[in-house]
Amino acid sequence: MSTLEHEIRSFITDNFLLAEDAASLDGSASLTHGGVVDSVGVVELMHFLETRFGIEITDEETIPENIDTIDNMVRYVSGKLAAADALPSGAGRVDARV
Amino acid sequence: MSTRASELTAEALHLVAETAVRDIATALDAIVLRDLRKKGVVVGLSGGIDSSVVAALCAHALGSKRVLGLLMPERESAAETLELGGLVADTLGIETVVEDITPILEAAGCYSRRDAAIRQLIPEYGPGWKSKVALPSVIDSDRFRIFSVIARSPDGAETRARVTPVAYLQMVAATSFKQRTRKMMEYYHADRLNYAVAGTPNRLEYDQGFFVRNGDGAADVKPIAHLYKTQVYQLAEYLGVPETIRSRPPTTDTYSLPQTQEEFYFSLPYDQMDLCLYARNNGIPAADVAGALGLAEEQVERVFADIDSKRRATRVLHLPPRLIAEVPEVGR
Repeated sequence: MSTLEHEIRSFITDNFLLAEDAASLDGSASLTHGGVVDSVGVVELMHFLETRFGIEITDEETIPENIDTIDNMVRYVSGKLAAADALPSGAGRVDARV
Repeated sequence: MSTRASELTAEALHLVAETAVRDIATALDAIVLRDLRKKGVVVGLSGGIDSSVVAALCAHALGSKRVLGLLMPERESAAETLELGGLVADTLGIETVVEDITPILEAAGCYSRRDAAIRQLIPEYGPGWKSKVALPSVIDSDRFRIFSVIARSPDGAETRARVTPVAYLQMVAATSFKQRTRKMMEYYHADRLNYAVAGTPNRLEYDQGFFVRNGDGAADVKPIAHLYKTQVYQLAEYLGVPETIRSRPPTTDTYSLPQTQEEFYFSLPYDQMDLCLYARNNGIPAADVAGALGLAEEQVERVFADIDSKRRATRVLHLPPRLIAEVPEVGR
């Protein structure tokens, strides 16, 4: 498990599962359809991803393909960080030491 | 066998108003006078269709002398709220009391706490500004429905900002003072008169959790919670609710900028939302609904998913307080 995935799973455990452990969650399972997060939870997840990994999630990117599963979040954030790294130094992200 | 689209539009939500009113009146009589043993009911009148119909049903069932209409404006209420609430009370011949709840809301910090939350998102927000929260359409895309704050400066310029979790929750918590203060006033008058409090949610609102727990969600009896909004309008016409109220678009009357219920909570105008909820409740396929409403099947599937999501998210609003152990002697 990557550090990125571990951090996302830890956030889900601390904020949504509470009494359970996200380590056993299927990475491809929908968090919204599975009742793990509601609409406020989606806002919390987005805020976590933006502040922890220093990315900006545009309105157009607030789609299930990016945020609704752990696998999707890992892929989406990795892609955003890689794109930021490809830009001139300092231009793409705020703090993404993952 | 599924209900076909033609049946869905023409028949599904039609009720015989005379029969429905008679059945509700019989139930209200049994609940209020016999079961609760209360002398009448208090209804908060907002000038909207739901509270108007509830007041009319109560007056029909119990007699107008056993209904008290409460008009509870605050400084951000729409200008016509008080006038329309008074109009329906006059039409029904019920007594009214006006309670301006602004001082209570100011003392509780409703406005200041909400404004502080908005300033987390829009730092220039201040005196003279107005605001509301809004959701993107569920019809137009499969984006998550994430609230934005829309603020209008005194010179008319609009600013939109996507909410953060802390700001959003504080805004909701602060604005909920409005519904909870109104309910507190309703129970004050109910207690002094030995009346019950009638709640005003329709089926859409009740099912989808469009109410504040211990605010407008609190009541002793909810006479129209089983009726789709379309059916509430049918009863309104039968009961003689003034046309001005029947033709007014449903609003939330919670934020200082005008706000429809669609942009705040529901996915579609109420008549279409009713049909989608009915279809979801009765196993009617999205394809049939799409044909009836002129939407794509994919769009109806999104509305169905939104209905399911809201039910899950608001389930706890309906629950009574949980006890650690049963107390069998109570509640018999």
